[in-house]
Amino acid sequence: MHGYGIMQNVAQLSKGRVNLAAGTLYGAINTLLEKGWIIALPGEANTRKKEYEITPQGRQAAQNELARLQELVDNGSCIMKGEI
Amino acid sequence: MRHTIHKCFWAWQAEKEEAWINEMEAKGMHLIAVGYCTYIFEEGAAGTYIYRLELLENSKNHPESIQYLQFLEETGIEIVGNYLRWVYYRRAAALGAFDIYSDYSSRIRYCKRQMAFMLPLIMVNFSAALLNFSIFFAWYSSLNLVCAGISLALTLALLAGTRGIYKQLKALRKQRVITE
Repeated sequence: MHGYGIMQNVAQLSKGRVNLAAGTLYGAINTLLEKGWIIALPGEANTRKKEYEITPQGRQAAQNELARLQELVDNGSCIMKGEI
Repeated sequence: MRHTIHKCFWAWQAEKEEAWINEMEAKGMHLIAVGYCTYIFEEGAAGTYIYRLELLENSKNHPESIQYLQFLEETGIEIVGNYLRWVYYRRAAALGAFDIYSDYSSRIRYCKRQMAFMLPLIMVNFSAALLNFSIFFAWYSSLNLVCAGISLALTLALLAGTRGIYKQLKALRKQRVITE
């Protein structure tokens, strides 16, 4: 997926609540590239748009983050139900 | 029809400058080029674009800046022009709200970049004031006294501008702590 595609996807997923600005996304992409969580795909001749792909390490990091967020949600639900 | 307007803004008045450009846009004047205290507008339909300004980390021709600006262009942002490290962007208003940064950390980094830009200017002006004062006291040259006065006034103006950016930085840091 390319930069503008990521911005559109995020806006669509969040039903317009999250609008990633280009400068913010550029910084985030560079951080992910440095961590080796995504890689830039070789560009096609007819387009200047750079595309990115998640790496196995990136997928693992995303799964760890999802597990962390799930734990937060579970804890929050327990607190709201008065179980804790 | 094109119109050239000569107007000067201080280095720390980027927000004011941006607001003025967007006010001009609201009157149907699209900014198409910039230069030293010079803005070239073209008449058109009001509210077509939203304009933003950014101080780049490096010069516009630096490889990192080229890569960054290319990325911005890929997201529908048009580069209208630049002056020194300041770049003027616009994006079609029909695409919705337009900001360069949407998170606190990036905005904080940007404030720090602006302050880092101001610091050498403050140092140079303050050094020039000191040098001219010392020459004045040694030789009683009134020209040096005038130069010292101008440099000192510029130093104070730059300090006041930097204080404004520092206030923004502090407010952003507070907001980040609340939302984190």
